[in-house]
Amino acid sequence: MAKLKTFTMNFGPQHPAAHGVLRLVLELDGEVVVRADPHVGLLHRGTEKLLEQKNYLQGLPYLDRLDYVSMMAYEHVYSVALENLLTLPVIKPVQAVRVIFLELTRLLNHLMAVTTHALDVGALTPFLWAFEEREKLMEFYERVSGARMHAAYIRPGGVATLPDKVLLRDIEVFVENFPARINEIEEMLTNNRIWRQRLVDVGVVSLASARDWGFSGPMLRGSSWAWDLRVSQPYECYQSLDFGVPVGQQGDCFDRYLVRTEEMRQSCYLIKQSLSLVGSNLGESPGWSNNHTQMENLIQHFKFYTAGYEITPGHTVYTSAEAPKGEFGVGLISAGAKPYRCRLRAPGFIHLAALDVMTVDHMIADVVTVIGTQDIVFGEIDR
Amino acid sequence: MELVRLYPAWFTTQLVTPQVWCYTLVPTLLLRALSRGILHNGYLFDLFGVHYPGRSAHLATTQVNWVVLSYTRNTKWWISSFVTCINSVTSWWPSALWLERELWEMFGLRVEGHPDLRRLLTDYGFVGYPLRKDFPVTGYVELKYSEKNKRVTSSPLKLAQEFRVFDFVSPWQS
Repeated sequence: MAKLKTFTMNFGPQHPAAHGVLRLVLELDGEVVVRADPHVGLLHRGTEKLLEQKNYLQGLPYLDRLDYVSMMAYEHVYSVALENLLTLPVIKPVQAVRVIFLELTRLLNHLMAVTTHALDVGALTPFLWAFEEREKLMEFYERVSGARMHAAYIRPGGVATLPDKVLLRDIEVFVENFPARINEIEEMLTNNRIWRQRLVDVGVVSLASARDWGFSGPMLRGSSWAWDLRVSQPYECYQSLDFGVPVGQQGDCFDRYLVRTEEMRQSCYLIKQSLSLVGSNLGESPGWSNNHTQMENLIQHFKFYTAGYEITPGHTVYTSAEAPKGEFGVGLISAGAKPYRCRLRAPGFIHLAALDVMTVDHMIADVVTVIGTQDIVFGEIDR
Repeated sequence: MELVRLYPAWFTTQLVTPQVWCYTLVPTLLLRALSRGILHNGYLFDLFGVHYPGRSAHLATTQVNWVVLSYTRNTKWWISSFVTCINSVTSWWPSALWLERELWEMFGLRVEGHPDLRRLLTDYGFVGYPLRKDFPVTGYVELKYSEKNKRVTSSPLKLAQEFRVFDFVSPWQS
């Protein structure tokens, strides 16, 4: 019998379903994937190297540019890492403000994740609806920080500026209405025959292999492991908030879709609670108002912002938090005014490494489904 | 925490829970103990290097850090070691496949027993180890589109002005 040769094909780097610049070298046996070899790094900007050149505060905006669909979640982890290094406390109302924006960021990310996934699989409508909502969310970003996407809002020690009452009220109105939008998206997808045929039993990851491959976030929870850093190692004011952690059962793409949609509902719930926590507590935070009225304070503030601050060399800290895509970790080693080394552990990088095992023996069309379910963003993978 | 009680000499510093930091000369031994569920059921969370070129010539200059997460203990173990070469842990943690590739490409550290050691994040044909301290942040080559050759070509880097470092002395000493 003649020996069959496999067929090698390039998927990307310009393929729209590759979610950015992913070059995937597929080895195919007919239409069945034998091996998938992702070539990454087309968006590599050397963020870890660049962070070593800037002082701690100047480095912060780089973190926004890692995962450019969940910006604040990433700058938050960097800020927390610095706070741990400096043993800086963050006051309660500011923690609640952070939670509000972290959860808005989760909505921002999951809307993108779920609906672009749907778009890749063939459902255009939810994508259009979600981008309408994302526009509103980015408007909140803009109103609080001046930037639609790269906010640089969550800073070491607190936030850039506190949101005003009008903004908080508008967020409350948004959160009241948003679950209805999730229902609309779910009506289009959850019981849709095509959507189910494309997702159910595709890209199944067993719990054991999800943990072996270092999965986190919805990718791990989809495989029925209730692990969420907001619960297991709570930061900010999450321990005083009440919310559920959805988990899947099969570990297939459909379960991960359900986990993400439910997480959006829980985020709304979290934002509502945080809004009531902020409530009347939100005044001028102590010391801030003086910066602009007293000369000495202004000088001190200016020096901190331009020259930065020094941290005793050799201090190390490793901080991680539950970003929308999974656990994002920041390892910081201090050296005076600049970090000596700043390690960024991107969840997407770890997930993409498992693309091969997730797609093997699947049809080529399922590769698109698996890329979608991994919620890939190249800013963070390539760093 | 049994590990700390069993081998107190391994652990130089302990940060606040839920993190344990340890410096060891025998990383592989410790990692194996963490992976096999003998002491803990750990999973590799992160792996990264740090380059210290200032260390004396006969010492290893690269510090490798493994971060091992234990779900059942809700703890992260941070194991670090100065080494010239590491043993691959891919056989028990497949998540190390890409992390070790990245470590090798960024620091030029030999990884023994890795099944697929190829360059990962840098460009095809890239030369050098970018995260080493002696690698300049500007790099050595620049890329541009050549109209003549109808493709992107690389040439040695030419900067119109010196790379400037604004290293002000901070009056805010800690």
